[in-house]
Amino acid sequence: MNSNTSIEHGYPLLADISGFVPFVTESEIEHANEIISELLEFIVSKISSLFTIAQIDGDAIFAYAPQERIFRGEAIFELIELTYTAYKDQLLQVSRVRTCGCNACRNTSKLDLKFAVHYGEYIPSEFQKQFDLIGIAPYFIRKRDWKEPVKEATKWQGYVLFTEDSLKQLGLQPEELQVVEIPGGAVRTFGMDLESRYNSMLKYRNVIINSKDAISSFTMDFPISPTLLWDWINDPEKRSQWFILKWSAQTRPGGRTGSGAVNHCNHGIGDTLETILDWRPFEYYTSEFQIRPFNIRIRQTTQLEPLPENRTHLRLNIKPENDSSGWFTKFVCKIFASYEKYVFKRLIHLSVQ
Amino acid sequence: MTEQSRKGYLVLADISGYTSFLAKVELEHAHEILTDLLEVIVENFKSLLAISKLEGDAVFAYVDKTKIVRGELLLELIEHTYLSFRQRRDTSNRATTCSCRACQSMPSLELKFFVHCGDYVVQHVAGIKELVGSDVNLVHRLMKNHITEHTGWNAYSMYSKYAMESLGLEIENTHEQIETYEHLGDIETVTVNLIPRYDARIKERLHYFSDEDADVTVSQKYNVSDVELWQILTSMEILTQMMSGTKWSIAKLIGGRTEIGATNHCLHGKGVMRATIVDWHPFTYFTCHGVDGNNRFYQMYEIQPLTDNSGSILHWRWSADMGLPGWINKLMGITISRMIGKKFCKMVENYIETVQKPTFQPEPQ
Repeated sequence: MNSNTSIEHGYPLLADISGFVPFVTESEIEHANEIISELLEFIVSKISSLFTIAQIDGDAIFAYAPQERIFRGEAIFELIELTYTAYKDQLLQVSRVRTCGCNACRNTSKLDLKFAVHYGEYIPSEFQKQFDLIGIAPYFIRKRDWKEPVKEATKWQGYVLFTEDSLKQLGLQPEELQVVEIPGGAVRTFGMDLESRYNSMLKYRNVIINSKDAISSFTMDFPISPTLLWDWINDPEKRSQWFILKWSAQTRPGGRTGSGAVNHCNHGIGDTLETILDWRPFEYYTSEFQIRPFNIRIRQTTQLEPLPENRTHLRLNIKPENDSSGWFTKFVCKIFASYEKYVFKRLIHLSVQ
Repeated sequence: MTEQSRKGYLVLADISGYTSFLAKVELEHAHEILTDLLEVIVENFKSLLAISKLEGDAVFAYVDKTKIVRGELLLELIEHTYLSFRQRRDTSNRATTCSCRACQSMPSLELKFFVHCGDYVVQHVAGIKELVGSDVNLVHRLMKNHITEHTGWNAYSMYSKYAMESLGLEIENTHEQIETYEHLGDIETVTVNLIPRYDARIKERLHYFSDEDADVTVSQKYNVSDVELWQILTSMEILTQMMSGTKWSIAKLIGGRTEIGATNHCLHGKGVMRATIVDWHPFTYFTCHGVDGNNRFYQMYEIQPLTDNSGSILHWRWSADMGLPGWINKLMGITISRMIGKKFCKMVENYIETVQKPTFQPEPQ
C-alpha cells in the first residue's frame, strides 16, 4: 500500500444524484446506467475546475478541494449553483433528445442533484491503486448519514448542504441557508433548496447584451481557467489589483454576490456603482454601471468561454442603459470600453505571474 | 462506457466503529491502523473475489455467480476473513506494545459483512471503474439495518434471503428479519453471528496429522489460490466430476453447514466410502475419518498458500485406523499412497488444467 501520511486540510464534497434508486429500479438496467454514466460525466466536467475527483460512488461523485485552492469562499457556492443549473438544463436536454420511450428515458426528468460540503483534515491515501481520503470530514460526507435528516426536515430533492465548519472556513453566512439538524448533533449543517432557486432563476435569466446591440465590444484570451478568471474579475479586492481604481463590495443580497449585488468604486472625480443584473458564475454576468457625477448608466455583459489547456476567451459588450441616450453617454461608453480594454490587458500579465 | 449486465455475488466488508475511533485518536495512527486492517480484508477477499473498490472503511467486492460451485465457500471465506481480521486486530504489535490511544482503542473496531446476489453493470466514469445497478444499491442499503438492536450482535454477516437461496444454503443458528428500504421494499435477510464461528475456528486442532504423524504424505503444487483449491476438495459436484466412476453426496450436515460431525458419502464401483469430518479449518486443512468396507483410516488435506501468490500446495496425508501394529499400517500406507494419494493429486491437477481452468481466470480489476 502506498500512502502519504501527511495531513492536509480542505473541502470534501459529495455530488449525489437524487432519485437514483427508483430510477434504476424502475428502468432497464443497461439504459438506465448509460444515462447515469452520462450525467456523472457531466457533473465531473463541471466540478473538476475546482475539485479533484476522489471516487465515484455509484450515483455520486466524491471529490475534494485542498484549502489552498480556494481563494474566494463564494467560488464553491457559485460552482455548485452553476453545476446544478447546468445539470437541470442537461436533464431537460436528455429528456428531449431521447425519444425511445423506454422507462429510463421517460424517468430521467425525475432525477435531481444534491451536494454536501464539509471542511476538515484528511490524509490522501492510495491503496490497491485506488485513491481515497482518510479522515472524519470525508467520512461524514461520504457516509451520507445527513441524507435522511435533510429529506425528513425539508422534503428537498435538489439542495446543497454545508457544514458549519465549511461555512466558517469559506467566510460565508448566506442568509438563505436553513439550519438542518443531524441526529447526534456532532456536526451542525445548513442547507439551501437549489431547485426552488433554479426555478426562480429561470424567470430572471438572460439579461445579455449581444454584439449587435453593443456600441463597443472587445475580446481577449487569458491563460487561466474561467473559474480563476471569474474570481479575478469579480472579487473586489482582486479587481482592485488590475483595474487601477479601488473597488469594494457594497451590497450583497442574502450575503452573496448575485443579481442585485452592488460594488463601489471611487475614481476621484466622483464614484461608480456597479449593480449586477444577471449572474451566471463562470459563464457570464451583466452589470449596470452608474457613473457619477454625470449620472450616466452603462450596461455591460462579460462572457467567458473555456478554451483548451485551461485558457479562457473573454468577450465584453457595452451599451448605454437607455438605447435613446445622447452622444455624450455613447462617448462615455466608448471611453469606458477603451479603459477596460487597457486594464484587462494588465490582468493578462498579472494572471501570467 | 457501459458494459452488459452480469449476475454475481456482491460482498461488502465494513469496519464498524471507525468514525468514533477516528474522533478519539491521532489521524496518522488511525490511518495506519485502517490500512493494516483493510489489507487483511483485501488479501483474503482477493483469493476468490474481485475488489471493486474501497469505500473509506469498507471494501466492496464481487464475484461472478458461476464461480461459486459450492455455496458454503462464500460463507467460509467471510468467516475466514473475520478470523484474520480478529487475529490482526488483537495480536498486532500495535495493540500489544504501543500505548498510544489509537493502538489501545483498536479492539473497539469490529467487522460486518453484507452479501446480496444480483445484476450489476461495470461502467467507467471519469476513468474510474464502477459497479452499478439496483442490486449494488441494495447491498449498500443493507449496511443500514436493525440487527444490532434486535440481537445485540456487533460482528455478523448479513445475507439477503435471495443470496442464501442462490448459494443453495439453508443453515441454522441464524437470525432472520425483514428490513424495509424506500423504493426497494421489504428485503428478507439471514444473519450469522460471527463470534461463535470465530470461537469455534480458534479452538485447538483436534485431528491434525503432521508428516511425522501420518503414515504417508503426498504433496503437489497447483496454480490456484488456497480458496479455489479448497472449493475443489470440498465440493461434492467437483469431486464427482473429477473422480470418474464415483458419486459424491452429502449425507449429513450440522446445522445446515459442513462442520465437525458432517458426513459425506462416496459411491464407487465396489461400495460406499463414508467420510466423517473430524477437523475443519476452512482454507487451511480438514481431516475426515473414512470407513470403506473393512478399511478405516484418517485422511487429511492441508493447503499451503505460496507466499508469492503463484498458487498453493496440497499436502495429502493418510493414517490407518485399524488397530494393527505400526509396521503393518506403514506398509499399507505406502501402498495406499501409490494407489490413491498420487492418483488423487493427479486428478486434481487434471481437473484444474482441463475443466476448471477457464473459470478460474481472475475477475478483471
